[in-house]
Amino acid sequence: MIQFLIIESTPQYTAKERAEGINRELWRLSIPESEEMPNQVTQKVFSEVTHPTTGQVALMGDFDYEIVRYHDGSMVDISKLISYISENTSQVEIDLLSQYVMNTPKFPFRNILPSVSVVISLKQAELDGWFQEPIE
Amino acid sequence: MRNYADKLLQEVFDALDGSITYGGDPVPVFTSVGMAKDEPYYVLIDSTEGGDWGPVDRFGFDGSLTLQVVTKFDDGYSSRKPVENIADQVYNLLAPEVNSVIDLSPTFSMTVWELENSYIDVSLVQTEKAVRCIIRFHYYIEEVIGAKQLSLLLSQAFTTAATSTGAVSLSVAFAQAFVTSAIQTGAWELSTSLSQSFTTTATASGGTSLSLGLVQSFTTTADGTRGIPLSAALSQSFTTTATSTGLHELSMSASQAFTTTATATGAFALSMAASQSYTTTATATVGSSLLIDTYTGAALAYSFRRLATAITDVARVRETGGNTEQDFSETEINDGTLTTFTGSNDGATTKMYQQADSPVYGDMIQSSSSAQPLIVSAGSLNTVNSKGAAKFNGSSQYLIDDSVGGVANLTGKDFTMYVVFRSQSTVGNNGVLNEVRNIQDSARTVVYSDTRTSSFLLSNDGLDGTARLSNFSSQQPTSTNRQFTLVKDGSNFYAYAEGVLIDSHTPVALTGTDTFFEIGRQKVGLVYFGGHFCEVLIYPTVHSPATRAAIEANQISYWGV
Repeated sequence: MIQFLIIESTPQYTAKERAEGINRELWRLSIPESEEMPNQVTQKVFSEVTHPTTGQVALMGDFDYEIVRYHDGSMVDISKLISYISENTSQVEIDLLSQYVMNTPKFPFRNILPSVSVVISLKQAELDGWFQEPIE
Repeated sequence: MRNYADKLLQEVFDALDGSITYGGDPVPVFTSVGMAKDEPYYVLIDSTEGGDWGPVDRFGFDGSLTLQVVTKFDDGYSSRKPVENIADQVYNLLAPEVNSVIDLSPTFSMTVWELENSYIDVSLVQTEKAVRCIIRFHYYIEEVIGAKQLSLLLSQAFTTAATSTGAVSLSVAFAQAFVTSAIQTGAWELSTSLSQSFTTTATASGGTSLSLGLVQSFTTTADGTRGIPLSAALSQSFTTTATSTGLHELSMSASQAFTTTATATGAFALSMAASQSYTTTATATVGSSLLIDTYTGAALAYSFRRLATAITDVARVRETGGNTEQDFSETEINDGTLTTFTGSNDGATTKMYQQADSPVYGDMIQSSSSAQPLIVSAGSLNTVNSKGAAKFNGSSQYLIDDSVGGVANLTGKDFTMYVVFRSQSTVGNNGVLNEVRNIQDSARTVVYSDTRTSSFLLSNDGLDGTARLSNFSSQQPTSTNRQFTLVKDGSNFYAYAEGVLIDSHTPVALTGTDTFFEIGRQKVGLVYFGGHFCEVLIYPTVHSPATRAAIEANQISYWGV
């Protein structure tokens, strides 16, 4: 099931910068930057969509998609991911998130969504004007 | 030449001895006159005389056998009656029927045996002390040198070879039956020496497809029936090969029957020497012979097979265990290299390389891991016609041109597009190829199928439906390999399914501004393709019917449409 995670801007990042950062750092959980191969195509986990009129940005995809954490957990740096999602997220929740990621080799993305996240369905996204043209 | 006389005399003696009587007493039979000097009545198997004739393998004897029937009288008065009685018995016992009493087999064969004289009237000599009757039989005896030998020397070579060099994929299916038999009926020896070799070879390397279907039967029979010298020397070679030189696929179906039969019936010699050869050769040599090498000028070409000799790797795949990526050629996709790379994990398609010789697009890529179509699922290669092809999930997976703006180079131009895919009935059926805005004046979407309307849209502006090719409703591809061609020629579109025109259409004006190309998604986030995608080519020109037919045939053949 395709869903939209609405990414808001923060004083530190624009919505686009946050979306790109979260998306990229999610991928870094699977393969650290130091281990990345030359010419590697995969750089993120989900598609990014920009609202045609409001400029909002969303991550779009199946949030049941399983993220495979890098086999050597000690090489995984979660700090950058936390820096992108920490706005409006409590420290307790961030600590729990970090602990979960470091101790779980494979997990669906929805398990690490912060409680304050705004997730909408594909149909709602259409109604909210995320697409220039209606679904036929 | 063998001695037949002793055998003949023995056979006659055996036929007569103990079988002749006179007045209740046995009449002895002798082969030497010395043994009969004291007997009042006797039969003397006197002599044989005659000549030989014929070639070495059919040596014969023509002669006479003489018998005497003798009766002796001491009182000076003789009678013909005893001799006539005994002579009749002899004649009846040696009735002139060939081989009925005198059997000279297996070394000789008596073909004539007949009474040569009138023994009672002419050949009877009477004196006061004896009456003597001469009985002569004429005979014809054949010595059959080699007649009891049936020799078969069969040397048979059977070779089927299919060789391809270059970018060729070769598929060979051979069903071959090979039977050699030698049958002998009767009293003759049969010697069979069979030397047989049978080889089937199929070799393929490269990227063109070579298909051989051979059904071959090979039978050699030698049959000798009683008394016949049969000599068969058969030298047989049978070769089938398939070769293709040039640009196209080679398909060869050969049904070949080869039969050599030697049969002898009757009393004569049969000599047969057969030298037979049968050769079919086909060879595929692919150098500069791939599809785009032949049909140049492609603006877009993405495929999981090699379309141009300038291209080696056709796709890049990520294994979902350790998330490493690697490029793969067509051969490596299909020969197990790819599945060795993925192990039991999925193989996600991160890139399809642009193979066009005049590209206005870049490679098709997907940098988001969750949106990458799978060419390997849990260690198993996803295939169409047994060839690797990526499978899209119908909900989130697609590939996108990574050269933003490239599509604009085709704005307003005529074009010919060829696409092969296999929709999955249970998922999506949507958005095979999308967002080719500005390629044509009106079409928003080039190819996609729409489950909601149960129609398959090859050209649609995506808004008012006026550009739909309505006849596609009958072309809904579910779990079926399909090949479609779309031609924009001036103000008309022509749609072909597997080479057959299924609709034509006058497009409406295009208002869209997108400048990217996608495979597997109709438009952002909405309508996705579910099924296997094989390949697509776009030429910025209108192909002739002959060229279109050739490319369609190539796609249909390779992908098993």
